[in-house]
Amino acid sequence: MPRSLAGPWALGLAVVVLGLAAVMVGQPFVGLNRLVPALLAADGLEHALVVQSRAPRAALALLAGAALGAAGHLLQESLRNPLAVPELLGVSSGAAAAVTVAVVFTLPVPLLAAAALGAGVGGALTLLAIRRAAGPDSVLLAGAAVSAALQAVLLAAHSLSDTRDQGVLSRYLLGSLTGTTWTDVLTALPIAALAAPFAVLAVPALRVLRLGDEAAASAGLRPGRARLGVLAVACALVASVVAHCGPVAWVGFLAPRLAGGGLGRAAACGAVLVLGADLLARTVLYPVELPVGGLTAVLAVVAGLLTARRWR
Amino acid sequence: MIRASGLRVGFGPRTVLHDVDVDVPRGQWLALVGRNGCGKTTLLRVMAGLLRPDRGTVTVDGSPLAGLSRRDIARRIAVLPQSMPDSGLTVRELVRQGRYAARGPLGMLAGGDDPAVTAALADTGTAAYADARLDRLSGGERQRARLALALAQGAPVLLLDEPTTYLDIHHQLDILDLVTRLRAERGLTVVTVLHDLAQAARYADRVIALRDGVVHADGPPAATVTPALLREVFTVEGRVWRDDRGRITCAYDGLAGNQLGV
Repeated sequence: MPRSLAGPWALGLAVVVLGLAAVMVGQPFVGLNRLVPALLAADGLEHALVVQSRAPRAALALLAGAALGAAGHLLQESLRNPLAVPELLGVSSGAAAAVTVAVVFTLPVPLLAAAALGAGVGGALTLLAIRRAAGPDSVLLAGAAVSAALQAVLLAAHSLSDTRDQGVLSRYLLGSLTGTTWTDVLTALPIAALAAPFAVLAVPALRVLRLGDEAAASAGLRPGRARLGVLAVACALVASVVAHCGPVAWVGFLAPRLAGGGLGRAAACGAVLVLGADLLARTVLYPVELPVGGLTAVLAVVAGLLTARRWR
Repeated sequence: MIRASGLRVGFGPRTVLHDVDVDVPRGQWLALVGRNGCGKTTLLRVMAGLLRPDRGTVTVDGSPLAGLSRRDIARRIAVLPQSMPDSGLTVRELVRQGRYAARGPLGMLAGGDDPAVTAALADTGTAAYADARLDRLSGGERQRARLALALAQGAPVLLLDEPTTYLDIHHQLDILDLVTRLRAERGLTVVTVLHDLAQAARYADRVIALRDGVVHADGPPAATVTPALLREVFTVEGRVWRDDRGRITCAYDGLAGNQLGV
């Protein structure tokens, strides 16, 4: 396993610092000395800003980063391929396709419901397609095929869309945390929390899968079934956040790479990435907000090139 | 100890094994020999429960494999596959994975070595480089580590698919001597696929030669490793004799039935 760029303490510290920065930085800047009064206040601008806007946004950034980072780790480990990204599970493209269809045809469904439904259907389709896959490579191919089909639906619907719809659509195409509320966090959290113990339980199976399918089977694991289970957990993790903030491009690729192994580290790296990227996204061009997914995609390219030599 | 009866396996239109019966008593070392593609590895995989036969059954210690879970099988039969991908693990981490069947996913989460891991490392002489990464080791050391992985399962039956391939003659003998010692110490039942007939004759108690998915010869080495076997199974003209130490030795004169090598 490649070595990590940062130890667990450094990662924990980064999460705390970026989390604090996320609730402090912005217009107006709320300093550490005013943070507690703002939290305790019954009302007022700073209270509303910190409690109703910045805090839920930071919480969802943390949750989304952790979920996508963990899902990326599960995928890359179970398929033994650094290019196995959560986007290949069909979950985020399913959500994006469903939202696009709902927006373009002005269907009378809440976007959140459409996204959740699309995420579920996309993930289920992929799992169905890979149920009989013979090995990691055919799993990847089947996943890519389902994703491509959903992308086609998305593009077809998108070509019919109005310019007014672009804001909503870019959220689900690239990922964005703009306008996050506590409702988003509280609906995402239970699914992620339910999937988390299964992700931890999958760790020993992932270790055994490193031996290759033949040796893994002779050690007592059913490789196909184990892989399917791991991917189902990854689907649930991605689905828990993608309905709220879109795919946040490439976090699932980048976080496990930066972590250099380990489920917890991948989740922590994901949280750091999304918190940091979202902080940039809403400050660099203030008052214009960039979609956070655009920034993470750029970061992924840079980090990918920088670390390419370390990878096997 | 491990018994296969009436095995038939086909891949698509090709039948790889036709009605193969093999019964390996407890403590025996059986060597499977034959040309590439004759069904040796397939037979080994069926005996390991890694491949379901189209017909026939395999039983280990009286229980049919079909009725056992994957983990139950792994507690009874350990397999050393022909090759394994680069796992990026250290020797110790590799050997620990052998305990999956015994400890289960929850037990594996706890981490740490149990006595079976320590014993497997010690008995294979891999303890000295237990914390080295597998891809930094020589082929011989790596093969010892893989043997330790199979050993850590604590299974009474050990199936080895070409354990000496890719190894120089020193490490070939090293691995075979190691298996001999482990078999004696642990009372293992051993089945190996081997290509070197003289090695098969020297190390195994019994040799089975497969030809086109059928058992062509079955018996103690002295009765099976003969010029007739070379001709009929390998299509090779050769001589078989005992050297001055009484060991079976083979010399290959050329391919039978054509001009090549004559």
